[in-house]
Amino acid sequence: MLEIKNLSCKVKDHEKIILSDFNLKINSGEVHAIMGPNGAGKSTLSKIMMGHYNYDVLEGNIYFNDEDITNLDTSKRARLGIFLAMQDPTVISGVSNSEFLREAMQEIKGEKVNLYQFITQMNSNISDLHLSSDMIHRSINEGFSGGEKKKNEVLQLKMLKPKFIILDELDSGLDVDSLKIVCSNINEYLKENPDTAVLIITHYPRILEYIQPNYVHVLNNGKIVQTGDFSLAKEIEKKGYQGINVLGKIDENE
Amino acid sequence: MKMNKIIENDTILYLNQDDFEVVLDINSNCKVEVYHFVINHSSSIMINLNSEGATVNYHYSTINYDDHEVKIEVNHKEKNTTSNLYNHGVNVKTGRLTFLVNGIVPKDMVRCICNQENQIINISDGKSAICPNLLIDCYDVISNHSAYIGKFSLEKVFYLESRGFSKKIAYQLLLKGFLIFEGVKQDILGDYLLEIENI
Repeated sequence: MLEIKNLSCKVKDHEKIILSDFNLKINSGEVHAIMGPNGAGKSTLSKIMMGHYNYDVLEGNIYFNDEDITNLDTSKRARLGIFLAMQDPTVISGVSNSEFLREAMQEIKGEKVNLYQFITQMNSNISDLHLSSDMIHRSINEGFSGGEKKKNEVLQLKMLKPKFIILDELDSGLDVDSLKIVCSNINEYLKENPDTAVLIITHYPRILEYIQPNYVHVLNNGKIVQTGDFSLAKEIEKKGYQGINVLGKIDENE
Repeated sequence: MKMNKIIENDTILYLNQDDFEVVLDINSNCKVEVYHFVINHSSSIMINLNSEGATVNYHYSTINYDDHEVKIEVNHKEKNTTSNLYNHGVNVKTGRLTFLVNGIVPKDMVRCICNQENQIINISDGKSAICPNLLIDCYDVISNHSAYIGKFSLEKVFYLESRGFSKKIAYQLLLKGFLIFEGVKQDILGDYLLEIENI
């Protein structure tokens, strides 16, 4: 599904290296989690995978279903089926959620979307996510609470039906009940689309109790320093990153 | 075309670039919504709030190519009057677009609200200027202004691209959101909508 090989990246117009010889392989239907301390490069990784304008790839490649997407435009990556649920979704004034979503579906499908089917599907998803029905007529993320913004990301995910999902700190800004709702919607989606792969980027293991990962990776200084299963996330919660001594490992390597 | 209009009831007005000189006298306790869409033209607009309780919400939207000046002046001539000005411009080429926006509240005109929000998006290397003036000679007044000149945020473009929109379509969506105010029916826009699509 998705493979990152020997990827090194830096911030555009700066010397700072963000990822260094980074490798990761995610197969269809797998759920991976990337954890790590602040500044480890987790969110940057998600942006680089989506082709963010602020980063340069120095070396290495990103493959999606065996196609090299390292230099592909962001919109083309989205049309291939990659979806990034953002940590802090941006506000776009004057563009309503419904207009935006219907046009986005048309861009991704490459064909007109039937209005009746769109409204039916939209209403059902809004109800599943416990969102207010008037949000669809409001501008994208304008006046939304932190929780509503995150739910709106998941609403878009459910409507656009991606094959590979990146969840960048989905749990930040969500209360316990909202996190349960959002995760149960994602699990439902994964049940209906079992080939879909997920990369969860998170500080805390709480979200991983609701969407259980097959693999947990610890990222530090732009490299994966340890890989394990869900028990690794539990150990991190108990002992902290220092406690499991993975941060020390990278120092020794250096 | 010069337009002099006396308004005494709640009214919604749609104006275009042919209305380049506008004088509105609002003479009763009523609310006036104005949507003014201009393609490559200067404008001079004067609004007189002549009666207690009079309110104007003026939405001015312009697509600019050459050198043009937009002058908007609101005179709060009575107590307890309200003005909210929303001025949005897109400067497409290398011309100069200037907004001169004056809100005037003289002495003793208490409980007035006098707000203005001005934004110009430069698509290329055009020169733009905004002069927001609040000439308030009274203490008991609420007054705010904001001014922005620049490009569309790249983060907004990235967000739209990440949902499958090409760069061109992403900019089109941002332009429509910026230039067409909420609540305006697209069928009244005619040539203006086509002009946005051609930017």
